[in-house]
Amino acid sequence: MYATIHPIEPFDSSIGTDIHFSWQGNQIYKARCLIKENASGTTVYDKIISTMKQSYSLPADSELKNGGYYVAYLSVFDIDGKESTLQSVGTPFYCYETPEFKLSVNPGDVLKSSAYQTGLIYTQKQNEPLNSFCITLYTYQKTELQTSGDLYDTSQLEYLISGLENAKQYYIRATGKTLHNMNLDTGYILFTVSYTQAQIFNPLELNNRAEHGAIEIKSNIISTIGIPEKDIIYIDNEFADLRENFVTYDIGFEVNGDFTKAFRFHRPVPNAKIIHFTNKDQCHVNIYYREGNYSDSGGEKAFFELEAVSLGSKYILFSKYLPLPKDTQQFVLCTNRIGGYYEIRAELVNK
Amino acid sequence: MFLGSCFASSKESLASSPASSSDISDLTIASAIYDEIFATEKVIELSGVDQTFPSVWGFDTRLHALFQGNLYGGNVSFTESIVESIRIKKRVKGDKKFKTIYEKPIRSNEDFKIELMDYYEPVGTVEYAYVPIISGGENNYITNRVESWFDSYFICEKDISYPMVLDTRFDKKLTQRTNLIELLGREKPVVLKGGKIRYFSGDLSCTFIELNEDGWQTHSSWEYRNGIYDFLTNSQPKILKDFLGNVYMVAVTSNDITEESDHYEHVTTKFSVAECGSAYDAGDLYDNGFINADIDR
Repeated sequence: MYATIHPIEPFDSSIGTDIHFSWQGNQIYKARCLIKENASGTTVYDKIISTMKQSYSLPADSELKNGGYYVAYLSVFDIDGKESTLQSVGTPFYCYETPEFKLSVNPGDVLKSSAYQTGLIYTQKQNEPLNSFCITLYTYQKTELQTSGDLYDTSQLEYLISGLENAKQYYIRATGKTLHNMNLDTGYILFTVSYTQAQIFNPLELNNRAEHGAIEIKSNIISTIGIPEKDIIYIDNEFADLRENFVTYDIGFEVNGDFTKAFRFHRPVPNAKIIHFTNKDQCHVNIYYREGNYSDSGGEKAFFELEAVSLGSKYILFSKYLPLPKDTQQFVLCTNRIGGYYEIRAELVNK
Repeated sequence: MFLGSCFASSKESLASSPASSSDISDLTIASAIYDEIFATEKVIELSGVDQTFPSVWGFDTRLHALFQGNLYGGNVSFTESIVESIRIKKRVKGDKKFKTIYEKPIRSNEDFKIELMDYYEPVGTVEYAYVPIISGGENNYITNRVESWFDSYFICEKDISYPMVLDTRFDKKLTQRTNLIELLGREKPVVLKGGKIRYFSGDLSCTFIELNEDGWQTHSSWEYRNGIYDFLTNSQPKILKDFLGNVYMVAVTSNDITEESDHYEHVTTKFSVAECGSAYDAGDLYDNGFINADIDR
C-alpha cells in the first residue's frame, strides 16, 4: 500500500513547501520523501521526518534548484517502523523562484482621481510565463465592487478601475496563475482616494433619455493653455514670474455675458498694464497697477485702475487704496461685469 | 470726451457710462508674479481672509490656472496641439474593458466638444470614458457613469430610435442545431450539437403611433408608420432592446410586413427578426455600421 501524493504546485526552493498526501493505513509516525531530477533520474533529496500529519514539510535547504523539474516519491512509517511502498510513478513538480507580482498601487497610497489605470508587474527569474490574472476592487468592508475577471491576454497587464469616490478607502487585490499553475496573490492593498473637488464637476456629462431609450453624452471639456511671450520662469513650481513677460489665453478661452475674473499675484510692476482682456474687436479692458502718494490717500498707497474701452468711449474705475504690500503679502484682484458695468475690488492677503 | 476720458466716467462721477458687454475671447496677464487666475460666467463674491477662489469646476467656470509648472487653464491637461483624436468608450455590466464606440479626430479646440446619443446601451449602470489619444496612445480616462432605464422596447439604428410602446409583443425563440441519434446498443440516444449556431429570432408586433409633447398623434400615425416601414425595409441591421436589459442586433427577416387593424387609427404592424450579430461586440457593431470606430474588436 502506498500514499497518494496530491498535485504539487510549483514553489520556490529557497522557501520550501508542504507536500500533501493521502494515506489510509496505520497511524503515520514518520514520512520519507524521495526527490529525483526528472531528466537524469538522479536522487537529489531523500530524508525522513517525524510527522503524524498527512503532509511532508520540504525545508528551504532541500538543495533543489529553482528552474528544475523534479519527481517526488513518498512513503510513510507506522509505529513499528514499517515503511509503506514507494509509488511506482512519482509526482512531477517545478521549482521556480517566487515571481515579482505586484500592483502599481502600494499600501497606503493616495489616488488623486476617480478613475485609475491599475498596472500589474510580473517578472520571474526562470521566465515562467504568466497565464492569467485578475484584478478586483473592494470596498473598505471587502465587498467586491469591480473585477476584471480572469484575463488571459498578459501582454497588457492593466485594468481600469473607475467610480472611485472622494475621501473613501478601498482595497485592491490581484491574483494570478503562472503557466505551470503557480498561484500568485498580492493580498488586499488598502488605498485612499482623495481628489480635489474640481472632479465633482464631471467633464463628461451623461443624461438618461428614457423617451429615446438612449444616453446623451456631452463633453464639458475646457482645454486652454496660456501662450507666453518667452520662456516662463516658475518659482517653487507655484508661481509664474511674468514681471518681464506676458501670457495670453486665447484658444479655448471664451467668457460670455456677466462674469467674475479673479487674479492672485504679487510684486506687480508699478504703472504697468498687468491685465488685458478683449473681444478681439473694439472692446478692450486694461487693468493697471498704481503706486503713489495722492491727495486723498493719506500717504503712499497702492491701487488698481480699470479702463474699459468700447467703440472709442472709455470707462474708468479705481479700486480702493491699499497699503503697499509686504514681502509676505500678495494681491487678490476681483473684477465683476454685470451688464455693461464693471466692479473692481482688491485686497491684500498673506501668501 | 476730453483727452480720451469721459467726464461721466471719472472717479467722482455719479454714474458711469456702461461699457460693451460683448464676449471676451482673449486674456493677457503680465508684469507681476502670478499665483492663480480664475474666470467664471457667474458673478461671485470672494470670501474669507484669504479671498479663496472656488476650487469646484462648475458649468460656468471658464478658466482656472494655478501655474504649477505649466500654463494650463482648463479642466484638462491637454490641448488640441498634442491630441490626435478623442475616443468615447463604454463599459456595461459584464464587460471586462471599456470599448470604443466613437472616435473623432482633433483638428481644433472646438473638436473637443462632443454631443452624441448612445442608442445601444441596455438597462442598468453604464460607464462612459472620454479618452484623449496622444502620440498614438490612450491618455488618462475621464469617466462617468449613469443609470440607464426606459420602459418600453426600442428598435434603433445609428442616430435614430423608434419606441415600441403600444400593443408590443415579442415572441422569440433561441435556436441551436442538434441531432438526436438512437443507437441499437444504447438505452439512451446520443445528442450531437452541430456547429456553434446559437441565436434568437422571433416575431414582433406593435402599434406604431408617435408620442410627442402634444400626446399620441393618432391622426398622423399612418405617416409615422410609413416612415417606420422605410426603416424596416432599408436592409440595415437594427438594435432591438427591451426594458429588462436584453439587447439584440437583429435583421428584419420577414418577407412581409403585415398590418392588422380593428380601426383605421389602430393598426398593429407585424414583422420578424433574427439576430445577425452581437450588440455587445465592438467588431460586430462596427461591421454593421452602428459605430464609427474599429478599435476594440
